[in-house]
Amino acid sequence: MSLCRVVHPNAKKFVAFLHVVGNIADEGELLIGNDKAVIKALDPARISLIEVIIPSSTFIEYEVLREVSIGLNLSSLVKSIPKPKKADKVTLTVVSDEFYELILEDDVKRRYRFRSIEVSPTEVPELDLDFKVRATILSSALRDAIKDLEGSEGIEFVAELTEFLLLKAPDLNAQIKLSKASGSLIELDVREPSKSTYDADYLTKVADLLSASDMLELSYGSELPLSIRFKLADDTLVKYLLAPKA
Amino acid sequence: MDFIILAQTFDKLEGITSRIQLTNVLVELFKKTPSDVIDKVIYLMQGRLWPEWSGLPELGVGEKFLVKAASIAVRVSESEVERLYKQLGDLGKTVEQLRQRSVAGGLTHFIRSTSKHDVRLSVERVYETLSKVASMVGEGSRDIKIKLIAGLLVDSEPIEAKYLIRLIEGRLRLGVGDATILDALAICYAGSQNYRGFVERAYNIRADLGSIAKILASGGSESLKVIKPKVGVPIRPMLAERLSDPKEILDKVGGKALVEFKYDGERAQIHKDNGNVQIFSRRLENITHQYPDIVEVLPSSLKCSEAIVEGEIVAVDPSTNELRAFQELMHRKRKHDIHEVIKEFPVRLYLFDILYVDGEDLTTAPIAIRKEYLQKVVVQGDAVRLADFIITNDAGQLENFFLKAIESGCEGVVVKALHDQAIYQAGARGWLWIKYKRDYKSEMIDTVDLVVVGAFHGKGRRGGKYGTLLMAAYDPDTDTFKTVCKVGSGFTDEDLEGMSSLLQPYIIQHRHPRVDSELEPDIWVVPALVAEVIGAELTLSPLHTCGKGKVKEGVGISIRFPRFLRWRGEKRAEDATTVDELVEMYKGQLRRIVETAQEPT
Repeated sequence: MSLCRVVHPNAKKFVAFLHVVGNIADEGELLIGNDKAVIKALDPARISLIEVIIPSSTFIEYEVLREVSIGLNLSSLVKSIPKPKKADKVTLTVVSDEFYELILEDDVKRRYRFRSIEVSPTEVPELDLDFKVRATILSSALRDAIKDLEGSEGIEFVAELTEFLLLKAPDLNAQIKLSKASGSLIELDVREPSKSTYDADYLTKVADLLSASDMLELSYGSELPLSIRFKLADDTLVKYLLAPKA
Repeated sequence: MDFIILAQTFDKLEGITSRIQLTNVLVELFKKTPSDVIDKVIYLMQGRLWPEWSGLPELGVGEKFLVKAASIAVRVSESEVERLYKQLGDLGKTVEQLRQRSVAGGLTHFIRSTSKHDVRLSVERVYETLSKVASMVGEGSRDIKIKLIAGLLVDSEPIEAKYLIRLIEGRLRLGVGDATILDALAICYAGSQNYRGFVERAYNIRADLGSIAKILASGGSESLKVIKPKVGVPIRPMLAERLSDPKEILDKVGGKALVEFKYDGERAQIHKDNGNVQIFSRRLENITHQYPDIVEVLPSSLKCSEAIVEGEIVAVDPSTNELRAFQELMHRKRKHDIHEVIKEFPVRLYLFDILYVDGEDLTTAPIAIRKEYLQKVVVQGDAVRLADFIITNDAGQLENFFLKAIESGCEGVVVKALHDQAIYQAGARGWLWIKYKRDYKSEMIDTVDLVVVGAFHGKGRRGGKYGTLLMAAYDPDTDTFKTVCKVGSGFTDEDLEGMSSLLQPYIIQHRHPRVDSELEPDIWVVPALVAEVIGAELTLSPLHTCGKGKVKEGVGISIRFPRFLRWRGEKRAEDATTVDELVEMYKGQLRRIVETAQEPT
């Protein structure tokens, strides 16, 4: 008897989560509780933290005997699992505290068995931060802005007024304005004018995931991490936290 | 255990020059170290992650990677890290200073200020992360390695960052040697330096300081007293003293001795665990990958499940089966495509000792018993043989055996005491083994013209042909031909093909009356064919008659590693190099041997 068995209807999306998280960190934790499954990973340099929260309602089958935590060796997981076709469904079975299985199904059934690795709780901590700027932005607008500034060492986020948010790449001599007037910025709350720079490489790594959502919430402050939160159509919530650069 | 304790100890050690003080600081450190991490503490202190012989990968992180990791961790640009590094000349100090200037990079600073988690570096985390860095290969591993190191630096205090960088760079340089660690372990865990002997013996039997420390820390001094060799963990080799007078050597070892060829190869300690074989060099490096041919044959060459044996791996000539010089083994040093050189540079293993077999520790047994075990266990074949030896109490016999060894391509002989106390003294150089090597050698600069007086049938690839020729020099005083050497190298396939028809007209049923030889070839020939021959050096030989007694009583002159160059069809047998010319060459080129390389035994 397995500890839990959950079936996600969209293997492509599920594996994409794993790939994005695997791009950020080499190891992560998958927590399967009674009402949600959470993939959480802190990158090895402690620069970024990603959390993907998938509600149980997203799954077509959701049987959980007790809450389980799996240590994911993301680098080997991502290398082993091929990107599935859209029609595939994926079944995750936690066989024991030591092993879990992923079954990808379409015309053929592919079964992958992995050992759960040890991931200590300090590897994926909870943070409570007092952000000075909060914005609601069109996901596609932020994704395009990040892509356009790709190649820069860092992207500086500047918010002084409540009308627009500036994204600057000083080394490329480029800047992009996300404004309410253009429709890319939906809301902006500036409690304190703030400027902070974040690593462009890290931002690029989550940019692809943004296309699966319509809107996102962005929060930051001077010398504070950048937080990006967005929901996908199936109510999956993605939370991303990125430490500031100098 | 917090890594800062280790970093602070490193800092203290760096400023100390007195060994007693170093020992005291280590004792203090070991007292603070839980027994389950003592091995990791010791490895890290030695600037490594595991014993060198383990065959596990080294850290292999370059300076550029470290600069990048530091830049991420301390939140400054790479050029800023490099600028300060140029100024200080020490990357460890550079990162320490940068860490002092700034708060920790990454999310650590925010984790510290907002969460209940205590973000402190532990020895375990440092060890595990660095192990991961060392083991990681393949696509994308470079980035993850940088991030893993950055992660450690992010969570480190400035002093921890300094020593982390130095540790990864391989520039720890604490001045702490194995001996100091052994002293400190004896004091800390056994109560006094008087126990140093037990700790050292255990280390000699199992050359893994981390593992010895762990056994000692968890089981106390009694656990070390009963320690046995363990297959897979090398034993520190017993070493020989050196003398150059056969009589003095025999006196020193108590009269009767076992005299063994000292092969000119690579000393190897071979561990067999059923089908698994590991080979360690004299310096305890894992050299298994260099000898896949030995690894393949060894399981069937030793009639036991587990064993630790010692021998010398020697290069052999694939055509003649004769020994080649040590330098030929260099071809085996390559890391890739080793299978390509196996055929071209085959080797043979000459076993001379056995230290452990199926649960039995033989290091405390006298050599006579060990030899008995070895002879029982070894199944000799083409690739694995027992080392040649004699047992003698006669200096003349020893000298003759020595000359035979030199002529066969060996370095000399090792004389081993045969008495009951002649145990295997692991890790020690003592008078139970004495090596007898040449003090002088006569390098061969010019070629010589020698006459064919006999031939030997070829073996293997040369089956059905004459593969080796018995060569002689001309002695005009007696109008005879005196043997100098056997030549099997240097022939082309064409030379070998034509050898039978070349010799045919000259073959006779008995030794030619003008030939003076103590060797009996497969066929005798009339002295007529002259060949130009070169060799590595001229050497004294009890087997050949050329110049016998002219340099030394009872021995003649021979050529070591002789090689055929070409036929000298224009020369008559009497035009060949004369015996006196060879004697003059020997004397003229005689030079004292200056040893520059590390002594192999």
